[in-house]
Order: sequence, then structure tokens, then C-alpha cells
Amino acid sequence: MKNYLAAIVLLLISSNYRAQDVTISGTIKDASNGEDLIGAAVLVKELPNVGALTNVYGFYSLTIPKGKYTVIYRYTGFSNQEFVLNLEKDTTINIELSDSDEVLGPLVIQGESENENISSTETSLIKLNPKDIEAVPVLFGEKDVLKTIALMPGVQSQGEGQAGFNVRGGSADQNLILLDGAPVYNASHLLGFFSVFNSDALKDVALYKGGIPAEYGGRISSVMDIVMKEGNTKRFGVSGGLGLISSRLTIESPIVKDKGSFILSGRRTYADIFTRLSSDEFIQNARLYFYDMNAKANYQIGEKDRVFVSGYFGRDRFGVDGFGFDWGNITTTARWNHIFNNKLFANTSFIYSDYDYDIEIGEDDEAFSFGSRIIDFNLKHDYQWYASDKHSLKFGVNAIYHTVKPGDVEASNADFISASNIEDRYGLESAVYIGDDIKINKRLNMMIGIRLSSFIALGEGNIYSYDAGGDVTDTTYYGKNESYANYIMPEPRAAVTYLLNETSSFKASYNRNAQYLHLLSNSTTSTPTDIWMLSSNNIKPQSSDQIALGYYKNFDKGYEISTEVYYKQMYNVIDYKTGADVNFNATVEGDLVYGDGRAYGIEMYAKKKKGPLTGWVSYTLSRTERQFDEINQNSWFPARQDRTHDVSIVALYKLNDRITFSANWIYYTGNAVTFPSGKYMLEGNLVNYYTERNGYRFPDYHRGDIGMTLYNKKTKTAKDPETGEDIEVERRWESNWNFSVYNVYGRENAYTISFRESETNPGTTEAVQLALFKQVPSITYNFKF
Amino acid sequence: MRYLAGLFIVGLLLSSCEKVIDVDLNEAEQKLVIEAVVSNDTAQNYVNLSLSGGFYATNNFTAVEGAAVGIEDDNGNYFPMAELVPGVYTNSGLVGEFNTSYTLTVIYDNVTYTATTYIPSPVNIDTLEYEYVPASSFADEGAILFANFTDPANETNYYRFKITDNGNIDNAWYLRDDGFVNGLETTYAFFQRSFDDGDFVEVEMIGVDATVFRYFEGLEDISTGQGAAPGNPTSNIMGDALGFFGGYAVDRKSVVIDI
Repeated sequence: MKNYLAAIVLLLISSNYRAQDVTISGTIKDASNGEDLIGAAVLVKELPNVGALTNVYGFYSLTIPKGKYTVIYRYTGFSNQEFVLNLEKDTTINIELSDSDEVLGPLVIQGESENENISSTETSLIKLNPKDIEAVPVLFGEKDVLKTIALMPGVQSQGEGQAGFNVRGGSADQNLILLDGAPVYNASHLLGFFSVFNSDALKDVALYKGGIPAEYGGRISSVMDIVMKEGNTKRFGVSGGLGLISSRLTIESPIVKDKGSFILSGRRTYADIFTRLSSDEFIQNARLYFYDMNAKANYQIGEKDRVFVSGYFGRDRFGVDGFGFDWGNITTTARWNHIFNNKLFANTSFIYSDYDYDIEIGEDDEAFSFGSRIIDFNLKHDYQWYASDKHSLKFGVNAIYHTVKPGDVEASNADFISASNIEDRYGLESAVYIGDDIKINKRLNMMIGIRLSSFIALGEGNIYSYDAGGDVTDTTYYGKNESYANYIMPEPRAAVTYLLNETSSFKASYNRNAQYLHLLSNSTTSTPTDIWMLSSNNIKPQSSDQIALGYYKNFDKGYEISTEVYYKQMYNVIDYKTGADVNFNATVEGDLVYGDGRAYGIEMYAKKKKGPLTGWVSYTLSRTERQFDEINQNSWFPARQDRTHDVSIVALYKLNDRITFSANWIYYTGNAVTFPSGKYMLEGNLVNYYTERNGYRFPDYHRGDIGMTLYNKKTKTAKDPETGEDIEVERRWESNWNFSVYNVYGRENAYTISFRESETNPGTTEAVQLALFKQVPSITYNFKF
Repeated sequence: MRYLAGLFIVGLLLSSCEKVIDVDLNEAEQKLVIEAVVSNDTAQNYVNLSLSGGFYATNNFTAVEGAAVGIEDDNGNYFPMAELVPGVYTNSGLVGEFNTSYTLTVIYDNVTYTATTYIPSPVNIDTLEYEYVPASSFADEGAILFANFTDPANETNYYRFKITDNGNIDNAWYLRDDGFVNGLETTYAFFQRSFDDGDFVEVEMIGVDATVFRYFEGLEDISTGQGAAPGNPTSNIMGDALGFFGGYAVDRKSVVIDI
């Protein structure tokens, strides 16, 4: 720690401060509600290619030579502000930007300045503003950032009924999902039909598919960084919605005007209200719901300090007589922003994450429950140093203490159940990182960084060693905080952007990532009963190397295209021995196999952001494979999520101020799956005979959705108090009706395919496909005042 | 859990749709299938040899005739198995002993296959009980059956239950290890099915070793479509054959349902 601090001090001293330079810094906020604007641009008219962007807290810092300039503040969808400034000394300028009168389309996917996608060093980055996707049709009308982001190139939804997603051939547990910096260990509600993220409470979503900046680490495929709204600092506001499945309500208010605010957002489903109306006692007693709460408060203390507290609490409950199943996440983030000076911004966060599931069986004195849980205490200390007009650095430290409870069991009566808990596992994951964004010249931008991560597996507990057959060969006891395995992984990162001209660029990136947590699943897909495991003497860290190359071009009239190719190699990925049992198994590590993965592909994306018709087309051609000594004779085989073709088309048409139409079309190659290639008879029963893992395919998936959103009139007629004339004034009450039909042409997409003895032709076998949805109409009402 | 998810989805929210589709499957090479049991029950000592078939072919599996089959216990007693009917090999002198290992040898087509299994010490059904359950949306009216037994504390036990209802064999898998109930007087509840008034129900409780138990779990996963990784269950047979060699410690009780 001491050395690290010394390093920072050294860095500070060695910055080549040029006396003729001045720094302007400050914050940029939305004038209507005081929310920080993320990625808003500060430009200087006289100095093309010079500029700065606000960070996630709305802070910017720009260093330029002394002089008289026209400084422009710009953010898409907002009116520019320009100032002519005679800059002789360092200056703080805090700005609030107002909504633009310019008519934009119904969709603004990136809340960033124009051409930022071209010049930034961030490759393989998808940004989404939850506000701007509300017209995209979705299942049951529940707008959902995870479902919408899966319509982007390189991102795959795992399928209907599964909230997990795969990024560039990675598995679902290789995505780091952060909510205000807190890892979310299970992002699904209602067995995967919805994500845990309530769009009403979210401000910004960024998904890094590659080129992951050095400040992020811990997963090898992607980082999804979700930022909650801060709450309106100007006035009290309420928004909400009523849907077929759930209702939402959000309250936001200033604590002290322009100094602090809070937001509270809640959501609950009500399928169980209908089950209570049933005449059947069994169904009446069925529990089936989820709820979640997002809360955040922030307060500005003086000019230099700001504190935030935010949290998420959500729970799913599902049960019938004698059986109950519930799961949920809790996250809490306490954060302190400090501006040391106009060039150095610091952020300290204390983060708590908790995920657990619990299954209850039986009633009264013959009841018992078992479950699994992961708890994190997480400390982050990050700096952003706008060192000069050429260098912008990020550096910091991070330490996470993990506690994993692989199997906890509780019984109402000890005579009934004798099982004891599987021992807890502990680990300390820590990292130091530094990254530098370098403007080399007008055309060349570069990011280099390194993250040094380490993991120490800690006692106390009995630690097992296994033979090749998975049987325990040795048991060693380790005391409290005694280390039984440790790993250090350097994770270099680099990205280069070469601007061909103002509107087009080439980018390249290289990325190494390490992962010390691993998700074990008892089924072939993500479920709430999946168990997180720490790296240990048996489970080595997973790691990946990825390179990506891209071409980006913006056209006039709001068109934009991009193409990226990527190659990703993964090491020590986990799979299962045949017949592996994951739940409540103290020696589950003996049932695992370790191998390699590789994924490569090309992603193409075209978007139209302006005019009445907006939307995008995305296409991914890819291959994802795995290799294990123990599976398919050590040959490469397709991973379950290997999808050759993946197409999404999203179109939104704004007919007038009150009506927007929307449509999606999705097509992808069916997932790889293991099917039998023969059968045999044992004890008079048919048994499937398998020849290889993932040797077959589901049928191709495709689906179309349509929607319409009807807005209320934005203005009303009122008498001018002075003249008595009728005038149009803006309504405070905003509302809309959203109608949609999911799977409008009723395609029966396979949810499962199973095999059974034919009913029509006994003595033979037939394949049976189960499809979950044909057309699903839905209606949602949203309001805001 | 998948089943429950399906239940919830199907029953409460939507009309899902099921249909028969064509799935083009490869025809795997035929393989030798060995189903061999040695038990304390004189009626359950046999080796059944057949060949696997194409997945969409009719369920007529070729019996393997003319193989050389024998079973040897760990005291060196050797029992040659004679072909009683095509594909079925038996020896009336063979009765399994508790706490004894057995090794099976099959020579077919000049290839030798071997497997070793263990008959654990016996655990008996103490009592069979049943309880009336009224009809609900998820089950018909009927009796739920319970088997009470005492699990030995000093060993890890693996049990399989088999039900015969009025002479009809129930194909479902009823498996239980003692992970949650070691050393306790405990109950196995046959929740998956209910019985009618007057049914004559026979329950076999079979103790097996860990390898055979895992194999049965694998068969259960295949029959229900569950598990982390579908595949052929890990067998105790050495050699390129399917099937298993099971050492069974069998206890049997029966009850007539009166509700």
C-alpha cells in the first residue's frame, strides 16, 4: 500500500506542467433534473481535435494553452452552449444543458457527442440510454436493458426464459455485471423472463465486449457497467407504469435543491393475485412473484466533495404447498467523489454484494431448506488524472473479500435431517491498475493499461485433492485466513484509434482478462440454483486473450456503420464430467473438467439515428468452440452458445408527436445441443445412446415483434394571465400507452426438444418440440409528473 | 427445477405448444449392451446381452448369442453363466453374498469386457405406510406411499427403490443417498405417483455401491432430460460397451392400499 501511494505521488510530481497552459474543469448536468450527463463533450472552436468528455459523475477537465477561445458544451439531444472565454488562469465552469428543440427521432442510442464513437479509443463498446429504448417492443411490455442489448452485434440472448447473455462466445458467468459498481451475481427474475434491472431507475448502460479498460476486471468476456439515476435535484417527481405482469413506481426529489437528491424505484409482479382468485386450494396457496427496489441518494458537500449511497434489493418467490423456492440479490454502494484539483478526480467506493437462493421442502416439523450464497465486501479507490492535453490517466486499487456458502442446510427437526452445511469458502481478490489515454497526434489516439490482479484462497476449512476419477485423495485442514492457493495474473490492455478523417476511423485492441469466480450450473442453461465457486487448489483462474479490429464511419443525416472482427482465446474454462451433480455436493470440484475455448467472428452494424425513421441492423457471423481432454476425444467442439448467424433488425417510426410505431425482427442459428445417435434397452426401458457432446443443433430461431406507443398531448390550452388569451402551455403530466405483440407471426421456436415413444407408431421413437410462445399481446401504461 | 419452471409457465401464463418435429440424427455404430445383476435375491442373478439400435428404428434389439460369460466373487468362486434364452445368461448356483465383490467377464466377438461391483450390507424396509391425498390440479385423488427405514450411521449408503403396482413394474427412478439422513430413522416418500384403493403394491429396496448409484442417476438424468451435461452415464464396465454390472442388496415388502 505504501509503495502504491508513493507511486502516485511520484506520478503527480513528474507531470510536465507547462506554465503557459490553463485547465478548465467542472461538471455538466441536465438542466431539467440536475442529473449528471455522462459523456458530454467540451470542445474548443479554435482548436479542432481538442476536447474532453465528462466522466460517469459529469466531471470534465480540459487543458489548453492560454488564450481567448470559444468553448462549446455539447450533448446529443441537448442545446449547445457556447462561451467566449479569455483563459488566463485555471477556471472552473459548471454547466447545465437544456433539452434541444431540434426534432430528434424516437431513438437516440448513444447519449454522446457526435463522432465520439469515431475518435474514442474505446473499441467494442455498446452504450445504451434506458430512456431511449422504451419504444422497442418486448415480451409482456416489460422494457428491459438486457433484452435490448442482446439485439446488438456480438451479444446473444441465451433464449426465451433465460436472462443470461453471451458476449463473443463467452459463457454467461464471464460477464461482469455492475450496478453502481456492485457485482450482480444473478441478473434474472421469474426464472429468467426478466432481468433484475428496472429501467426506470437506470441512467446509463455500457457494455464492453472487448478493449476492456484497465479499471475493470474479474471476468473474461465482458463488462456491463450500469449506472443508476441520481434523482432529480430540481423538483419532486413521480413516474410509473402499469403493465400486464408488473407495476412500477419511481419517486425522486431534491434533498437540498441543486445540492442533493434521492430516487426510490420499486417494482412488483402480480401473477399471484390471479392465482389467489382460483377455486383450487393448491393454486390459491401458490406463491409466484418478484419485487425489487432501487434506491440512491447523493449530496454535494462543498465544491470538492460529493457522497452517494445506493442500493438494490430484489427477491423472487415461488412456491406451492410443501415446496418453496426463492432467490435474490442485495447490493449496496457507498461512494465518495473528491476533486483534488482541476486535474485530479478521486472516487472511493465501499461495495457490498449478496446473492442467495433457498429451497424449502416439507412443512412444520418436517421441513428443511437448503441453499447457496455468495457475499462480497469490496473496496475500490480510483483516480482520474487529466495530466495534460495529451495524457489522461486512470489508476487505482481494488480488493474484494468473497465468502461463498456452497450449501447451507437447515431443518426444523434434527431427527428428520442429519445433513450439515458444506464448508464455506473464502478468498481475497485484489488488483492494482493503471491506464493512460494518449493523444499522440491529430489522427492517432491510444490507450495502454495494465491490471495486476491476484487471488488468494483462504481458510478456514478442509481442502480436498482429487485423482483423475474425481475421488478425494487427500484432505488438508487450513486455519482461519491461512492461504491454500494463490494466483497472480498480469492483464495488459491496449487500444489504438487511427482517424482517417473526422467521420471515420480504424481501431484495434488487445485485452487480457482473468477470472477467479466460476459459476456451476446443474442444467445446460442459467438458472437461479447455479452456484458460484472460488478459484482453489483445484480450480485454476480462467483467463482470456482477445484481439479486435474495427472500422467505424459516420455519414450525414445520422447514418452510422461499423464492422469489427475479433478473436478470443480462453484458458481454464470449466465444464462437467458426464453425470456431474452440482447442488449440495461438497466434492463438486472432482466433477469438473478444465479446458480451452476459442471464439472468433465478424460483427456488422448499421444505424440511423435521425429523422422520423430510426433503428439499426446488426449481423454477427461467429464460431465458438471448446476443447477438453475428457470430452469428444479432446477435439474442438461447438459450445452451446455457438451461433453461426445472428441478425437483429430494429425499426422505430415516429408518425407524429403522439404516435410511434416499432418493429423488431430477430434470426439466429439454433444453439448447439447434445442429442442421442442411437438407443438401447436396459431393464425393459429405452435409454438414449450419445456419441458426442453438442453434436446437433436446435432449429433456427426467428421472430418478429411489433409495437405502438401513444403519447398524451404535450401541451394544453390555458388562459394567459395577463392578456386573457388562450395559449398553449406545457403539461406537467406526461403519459403514454404502449401496445405490442411479441412473436407477431406466431413462429414456434423450440424451447426444448425431447424424445419419446411414438403414440401413433408404437415401438418407434419421435422428437417433440416444446415452444413457449406464439403471439403474446401486451399493453402498458406509463406516466410521469 | 426445469420441470417446475415448465409447470409454472405452462399452467399459469400461457398456452405453450408441443409438436412432433423431424430431427435428423446420425445412426451410431451398434454397441454391445451389458445388463448384469448379482443379488441376494435368487430371482435376480442374470446377464443380459444385446446390441444398441438406430434411434428411429423400431425397438427390436438384437440379442447377443454365443458369448462366454462368467462371474467370480472375491473368494475366488467362479460361476459360469449359461445362455438360458437368446441373450440371457444365468447360473442357478449363483446367489449374491452381502459385503462381497463380484467380477463379471464377457467375451464376445473375441473382445473381453470386465466389470466389478460390490453388494453392500443389507438395509431393510421397516414399514410401508400410505396416506390419502385428495385430488388437486397437480395430482389425482389417491394414496401416497412411504417406506420407513433406518439408515446405518457408519457408512455411506445408496438406495434405489422399485415399485410394482398390481404386477405392473413402475419404470420411474426412485433414488436416494444418505447425504441428508445419515444414521437416522427416515422415510422415502413416493411423491411422484399415487395409488388407488385395493392396489397391491410391492416395494423393493435395493442397496448398491457408489458407482452403480451414479450410473442410475445418469440414467435418470437421461430419462428426464436433466443434468449439467447429457451423455452416457459413467459405467463400471471396462471396455467399449454400454450398460452396467450391479450388485444388489435387496429387501422387499408389500402392502394392499385401503383408503
